[in-house]
Amino acid sequence: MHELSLAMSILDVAAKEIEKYNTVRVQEIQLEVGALSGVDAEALEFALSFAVKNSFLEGASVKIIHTEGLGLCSRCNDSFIMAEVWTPCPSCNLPAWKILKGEELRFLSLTVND
Amino acid sequence: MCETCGCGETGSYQINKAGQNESDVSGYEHSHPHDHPHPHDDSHPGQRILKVEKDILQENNLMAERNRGFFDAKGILCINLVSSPGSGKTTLLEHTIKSLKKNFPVYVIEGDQHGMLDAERLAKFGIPAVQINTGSGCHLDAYMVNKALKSLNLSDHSLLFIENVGNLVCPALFDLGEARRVLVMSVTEGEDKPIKYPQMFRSAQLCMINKTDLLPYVDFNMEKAKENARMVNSSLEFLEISAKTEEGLDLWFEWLLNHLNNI
Repeated sequence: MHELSLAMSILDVAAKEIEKYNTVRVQEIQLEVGALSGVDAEALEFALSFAVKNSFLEGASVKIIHTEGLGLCSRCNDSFIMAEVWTPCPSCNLPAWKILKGEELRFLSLTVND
Repeated sequence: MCETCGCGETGSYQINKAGQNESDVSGYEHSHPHDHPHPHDDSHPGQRILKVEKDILQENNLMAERNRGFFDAKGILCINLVSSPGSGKTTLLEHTIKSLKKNFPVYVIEGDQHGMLDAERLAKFGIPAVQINTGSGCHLDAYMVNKALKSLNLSDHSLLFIENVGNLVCPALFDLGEARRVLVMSVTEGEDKPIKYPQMFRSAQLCMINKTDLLPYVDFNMEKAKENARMVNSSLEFLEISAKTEEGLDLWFEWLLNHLNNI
């Protein structure tokens, strides 16, 4: 739902980076979206397809790296894969006390043509 | 196109102070034109990868930290109140303002898509209230709050409530610079809300379960609701309240005073 706001932020971050280099054409942007970030990667791609229209990112492809969720069990402290924020530890059936991975929402890199 | 969920027209937002006719219409300001900053130059052909490694929400987060620094320096307790529409945030604020304004200054920033209703409702209690209309947007961001702060002229050691747009999805990701995020859910909403909207429950520190006066009439399992919320946020605190009958509000005031004294 908030993916279009994020798409606008992505455009801003990209523009700031581009200003630093004498770069003209962006071929691809690479993003990282964690499984527990609260962002739907497909919705983000869809929103980006609108947001980039008539901008310097129009025509650039979007590559999204998905990061799996990983948490530490609040009883056994073992790490376990979390598909959702509420996914419990498979051994203890208890929630994670800490999330190690999966909350990422990052702009990784730009592939450009000079 | 909506800034947020893709519906309607492009959103500008509007800030109005209750009791005044002036309004301030702002658009999202981008730091650059969205066009090619340089002409294409074929003299250096080739592809290269530029590392960015930045949080997508970095700009909002930086502005939120600016807001937070301002609150810290002035000893202001800023509370971001979030909930689904109709959970009773404004009624809760009415009682809170009435009880606490004699002890220290209370301010409100109201976020709604349209209209001045909530800010006017709260300004009747004699406190400064600013309304942010997000237009087609469905959450407040740190920039809007920063702008609204400039029209409030906040005193030191005061209490600022930001009543976010009623929405359990989008506001979860946007830090406004608050000291605490307080989520209001009501017993009419069902105990499965924390599982359906985990990001919001995960990002809050206190969950107020409102409308407890309706418990005899609705099928709501209080313990199950808390258990669901703890699945996504094991350190979440709870307060059971009825903003209508004022039951449980003394504990809420105590919670606020404790946090205000610890800034």
